[in-house]
Order: sequence, then C-alpha cells, then structure tokens
Amino acid sequence: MQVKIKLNERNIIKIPELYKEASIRYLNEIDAISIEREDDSIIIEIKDKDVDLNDKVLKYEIVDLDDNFIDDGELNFSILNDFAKNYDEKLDKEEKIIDDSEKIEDSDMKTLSFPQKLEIKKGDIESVILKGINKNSKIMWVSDDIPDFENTVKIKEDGKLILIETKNLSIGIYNLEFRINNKDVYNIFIRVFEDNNQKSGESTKKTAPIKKKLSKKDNLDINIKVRDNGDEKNDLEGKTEIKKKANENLEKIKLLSDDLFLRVWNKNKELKDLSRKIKYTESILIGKQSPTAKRVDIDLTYLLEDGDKCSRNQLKVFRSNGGVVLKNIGKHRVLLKNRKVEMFPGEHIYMDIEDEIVIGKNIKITLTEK
Amino acid sequence: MSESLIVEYRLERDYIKKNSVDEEISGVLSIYPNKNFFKNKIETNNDLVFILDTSGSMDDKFYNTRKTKRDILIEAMENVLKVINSKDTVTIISFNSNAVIHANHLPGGAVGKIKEAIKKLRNDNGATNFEAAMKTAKIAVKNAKNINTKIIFLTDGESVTGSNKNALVIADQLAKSGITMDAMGIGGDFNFDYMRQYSELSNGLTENITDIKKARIVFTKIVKNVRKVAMKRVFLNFIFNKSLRDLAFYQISPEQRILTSKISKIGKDMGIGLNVGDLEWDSQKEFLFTANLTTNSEDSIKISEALLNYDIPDKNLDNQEEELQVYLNLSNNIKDEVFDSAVSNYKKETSLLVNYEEVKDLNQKNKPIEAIKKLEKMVAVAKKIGATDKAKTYIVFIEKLKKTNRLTQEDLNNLSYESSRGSKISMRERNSIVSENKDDSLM
Repeated sequence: MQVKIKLNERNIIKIPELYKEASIRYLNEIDAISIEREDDSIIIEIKDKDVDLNDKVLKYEIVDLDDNFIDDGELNFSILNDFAKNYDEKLDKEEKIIDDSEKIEDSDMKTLSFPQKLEIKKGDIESVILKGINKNSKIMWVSDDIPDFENTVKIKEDGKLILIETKNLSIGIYNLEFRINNKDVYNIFIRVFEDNNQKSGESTKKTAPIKKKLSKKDNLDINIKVRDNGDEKNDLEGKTEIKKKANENLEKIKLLSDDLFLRVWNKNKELKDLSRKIKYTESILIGKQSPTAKRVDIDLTYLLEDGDKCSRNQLKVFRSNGGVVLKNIGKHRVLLKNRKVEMFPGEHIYMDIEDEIVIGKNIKITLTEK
Repeated sequence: MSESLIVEYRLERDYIKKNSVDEEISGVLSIYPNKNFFKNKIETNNDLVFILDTSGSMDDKFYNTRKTKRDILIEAMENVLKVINSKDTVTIISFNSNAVIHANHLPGGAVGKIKEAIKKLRNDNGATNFEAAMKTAKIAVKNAKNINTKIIFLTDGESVTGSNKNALVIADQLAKSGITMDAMGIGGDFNFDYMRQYSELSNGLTENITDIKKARIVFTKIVKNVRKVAMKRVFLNFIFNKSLRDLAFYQISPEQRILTSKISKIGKDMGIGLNVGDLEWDSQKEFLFTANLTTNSEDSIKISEALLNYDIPDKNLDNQEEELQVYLNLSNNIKDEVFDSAVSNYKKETSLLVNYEEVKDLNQKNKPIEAIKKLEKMVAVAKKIGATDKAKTYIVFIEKLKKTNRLTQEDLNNLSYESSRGSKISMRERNSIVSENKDDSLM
C-alpha cells in the first residue's frame, strides 16, 4: 500500500474496521519514522527529516489475539507536502456515499450472506445489488493493490446497484469493503480469473481472512448476477494454463507408502537441511519465520526474493487416510506445477509422488519416496 | 457405593464436519474425588519432610526488609509447629555443600526437639548442592511413619556443586514411590523454571516467595492442604486415537504445565502417561488436549481414552481404576455449532505459558523489541480472558524491557510464576457454555 506522508505533521492512517481488534506487527524498522497505534488509527511522524523516505518499505503482519495470521502487506512511503488536501479528495472519490432512498427488488437474483466471494471472469461486468444500505454507507477497495475506483466500480441507481468492471483489473484477488454507519463492515472478496475452467467452485466460505458474526439486525443482503461481456477481450489469453481446481473429494485419496519426504529446491539446487520426513503424527508447516511467530518447519524466509509472496504459515502438509494432504493455509496462491493446479487460500489436495509445489520464482518443494 | 473418582471431559466443539480433512479439536479433562464417596472430611496424618537450603547466601537480605532469607525461613518453620498434629512427623534436612538431617521423623508433639532442630538451621553454611539434598531425603523417607509423605523443597539459588541430573533422577524415584514434592524458591537468585522440574515429577506445586507475608504462611498452607489427601498415586494414561495428529497436552490446574513433549508411544498408540500425584478431597486436576484430525462419514468418532489408577489410603483401597472414553460427534450440518467458551479460554490461557517460553528465549537472544511485542500480545490475551493479574504483571515487564532492554532471572521467575498459575475458577465450577457461532469464536 502506498502511503503518502507529510513532513511536519502527525499522519493518521485509519485502520480498517475489519482489523480493529487485531494486532499489527512490524517486521522491520525504519529509523527515520515513529509509528504508533492509537485506537483505530496508526500515527506516523517523521523523526529524521534528512532521510529520504521515498520508496522505503515497512513490512507488516496482522494477527488476531491468538497470533493467528490474518493478513500481511507493505507500506511504501512517499513524501507529499500537500498530501492532506489530496488525501481528502481521494477519499471523496473512493468512499462514495450510497443513498438509501428507495428499495430495489429483483426476484431473479440470489441472496447471499457474508463473508462472500465472487469469481468474475476477466473482462466481465458483475452487477451487485445492495439492500440495507443507507446514506452513511461507504464502499471502497481495501486490497493490498488498490485498483482505481472510478475505472472498476460504477455506482448506479442511487447506490443500490454497483457494477464491478473487470477489464481494468489484473488477475488476482481483491477486497471490496462496504461500511454501514461507519461501523458495520462487510467485505466481498473478488477473484478475477482468466477463463471459466479455473473457477474454484465451492470455495466461498474460506476466502475471508477474518470472519464476522452476523445477527439478523445487521444482516446486509446483497444480490449478485453476472453479466457476460462478450465483447471484452481477455488480455491474459494464452498465458499459463491452469485448468484444474484444487479441492478434491475424499474418494480421490492416493494411497502412498509410509516413508515420504518433502524435498526443498532453490534455483534447482536441493537444500537438504530443509528436507523433512512426513510423519503420521505431525503436520509440516511451510512458510516464513518471523521473530514472534509460531513454529515453521520448512522456513523459506531466506529463499524468497523480491516480489515472491509467501505467508508466515503458507502450507500445511500432513498424512491423512493413507495419503498426503497439501493444504493452503496462507494468504497467497500456490502452484502445484506438474498438475497445473492453482491452490487458493483454504484449499487442499491429496498429493502424489513427484508433485511439485512452486512458491515464488525459484522455490520448489517435491514429494518423494526417498 | 458411589464411584470414588470422577473423570469428566468437555469438548470445545459439540460436533464437527463429516468428511473434512483438517479439523481442530480440543477438550478439557477434569479429575476430582467424588464428595458423596468421601462423606466425612478426610484428616490424614503425614510425614512432613523439609529439605531446606542453608547455604551462605541465605544470610542475604530478603528484598528490602530488615530480615535475611534465613530469618524468614526459620519464622516459616516455627509457624509450622502451630498447625501440625501429634501424629504428624517432621523431618528437617539442611543442605548446603552437603546435607544433614537435623530432625528425623520427630512426632508432631515433640515441639521442643523440633524447635532445637530449627535452631540448627541458623548455623549451617556452605555452597548449594541439590544432589546431596535429594540423596539424604531418599534415605530419610525410608523411616516413614505415616501413609502419606510430603516433601517441601526450598532453595534461594541454583545448585553449584553435585549433579543436577542425579538430583532429578532421585526426585523422580521419590515421585514414583508415591511421595509428592512441592518446590519453591526464596529471593531473586533461584531459577523458578528449574524448580518446576522438581514439582512436576509428582505433580506438586511450585512457589515463588517474593513477599514476607507469603513467606510466613507458605509452609503452613501446604501442611493444611496435605491433610486433605483423599487419593494417592494417581496415574493417568491418556491415549489418543490413531487418526489424530499434531497432538498437544497441557495441565491447566492447579498449576499450568506444557506436557506435549511427554507424548510418546504407549503400546501401539500415541499417548501420555502422567503421575497426577495426590488429590485432596476438595481439589481437582485438569488437563487440556488439542489435536487435528481428518473426519469420515461416521456419526461419531472415539478420539481418546483416559485410564486412571489410584489408591484411597483412608479406605485401604489400592489400585483402583477408572476409565473414560472421549467421543466426538460428526455432522453434515455445522451451521449451528456450539462452542464451549470455557475450553476456548483455557486454550488462550495456556498460550500465555507457551508465549512466556518464547519471551524467555527472546530475552536470552537479546531481542528486547520482539520480547516486548510478544508480551504485548500476552497482555491482550490475558485481558480478553479476564486474567487481569497476569496482564498487570506483563505490563510491568514491558516497561522494564523498554527501560533496560533485559529481564533478570528474578523478572523471569515472576513472569513464569504468573504465567503458570492455574485459573482461579476450575472447569467444573464454570457454568458458561455459551452458544457461539463458529465464526465469532475466531474473532
């Protein structure tokens, strides 16, 4: 996330409602700034004005009270003297107030409850009808990579209907947040995919990084229907072909031998000290260790390169029903290269011998019998 | 006749999803004597064996008081005389570089002789040798006069001569013979975690004597408690179902302990064999287990089995047995799943002890910033579960770390003591099964 900060002021960044109860942990330090939390805000002040903060990166993790990973990201700083004014203007643009002056009914549309996930084919336009929205409601992107609001979300019919246009969205997962009375927060996680074959089917309930109990009182109905925009060209056509969905039925268990190992490779060189035998009694956790984190059995911290995405606990491998299960417990997608399977957060698959997990640009983990 | 020992379990989730590859389960096992069985309050006579550190450092001041640690120890021993009865016996072993028996199973009525033995503590001096202390205790307990023997082991420092390993081996032998040991430290120079290893062997208690009021009553409290022992040599075998993985096991009351490392093969299965020690007629011992599993299409699954073996000295009953099988319900519909918030809170509370171990490690590695972050998280958890004393203690040491970047052994003792205290309210006293949405419990 790009953070523009003003040299001589207390810069206040509001923490999304979703994360108010959570803890923010910084994974590195920038000496020139002080950063403190005050209730639902982060206060950033510049201590050393001579240091060039442009393009400095502060990495963070958001964890719940049990230290369970919720989210992570980076703050990229840039200095802007008239930031405050621009910031307000940006907020005005992005946080559209949705009026609640009239009701909309559409019996054809399916009512869904939160947390919700939408999967939209790249190029399609998805329409979302909102009920229970009032004039104090706001809608904004809160993903790590914040898309341009005007080019991606169209608000129609006094805020009751929004259209999500995917032609300007890259392939990936986005988080669209709705706030009602600036208090109740609802999120739609939107996955933009390349073609119909890679829809992950039954994955709706595992995409939310944090879950909220909904009472009847504050329940918000959202009706969604997809409108195929056949004229839009899929600009990622022809790239990596990911055909299969990750979740499989239990019936598809592959019975494997007792002695199985995970072997780790970086730039095609095996790192034998990271190899692990898969025991029946213990799961193997793969991810990146942080100073205050829970255990990681295969620590990839020093193998990851710029741009590589890996959560603190990204993958879990364990024996189950005579087979070996690979489960994505992190935030990022992981590729099972040999099977051309892309695993989304929360998904699992029964592994096969010689399966090849790919993380980042150069890390490969294989399942072997030796 | 009603059953003598009650064994109960409560699971965090009332049922979990069928055909699911990775479900987390947890539960609490409570063990306590049945009060209907013990209609008359038990008053046992006991052999009290005091193993007391009389090294030179005991002449140092006890914090900011005018008294030395030795003064405090002698006062505490004199107070014991007020609570023992004539059929109890008192054994006093003084240890420094060597160990000597000043009183050997003197009857409680022999007040004059016991006082003389206490006076001798004033003159002893030398280094600290736990091995000598344990060897002497092993000899002394052979003269047992009563069914129940309680060892009270006090030190103000760490053992500098003799073998600590041998000392622990002897303590383990004593524990296996049914003798329980409470261990404690006085002042800031001992290692609380090391003393916990001694008490753990027989599931005794560990005390950190930090104020004069507590010091005066610490022995009398133990003597009063040990009189209520209803069950002895209580051994627990807790066997996990083969399909479980990522097993963890903790004691949550009366003192918290991480026991996961003790899980091993029991026959063909994984499980834990534990010396639960004594059970007073008005007390309970409680344990928390957590695991992950893959579920099938059955309606229920046996996840574990608890087997208990124990003696009831008051009724001359030996080798009594109790068995409990723990079942979990499976369902296709988990929409209205009920969570037992008490079990969830226990899980959070044990995380404080796990986190304390990490704080200790970070302090050792000179990483104060990370240690502070960890402590801040512990404050948040403690506040959330209503453990305000723990939260206050953690805040004190956050401030200390901010100022000095380092925690002393005394600080770590206090942190460990506070983190390992069991909940004030036991599981069976709780009546707070709160129906919660699964999602809500994850907040």
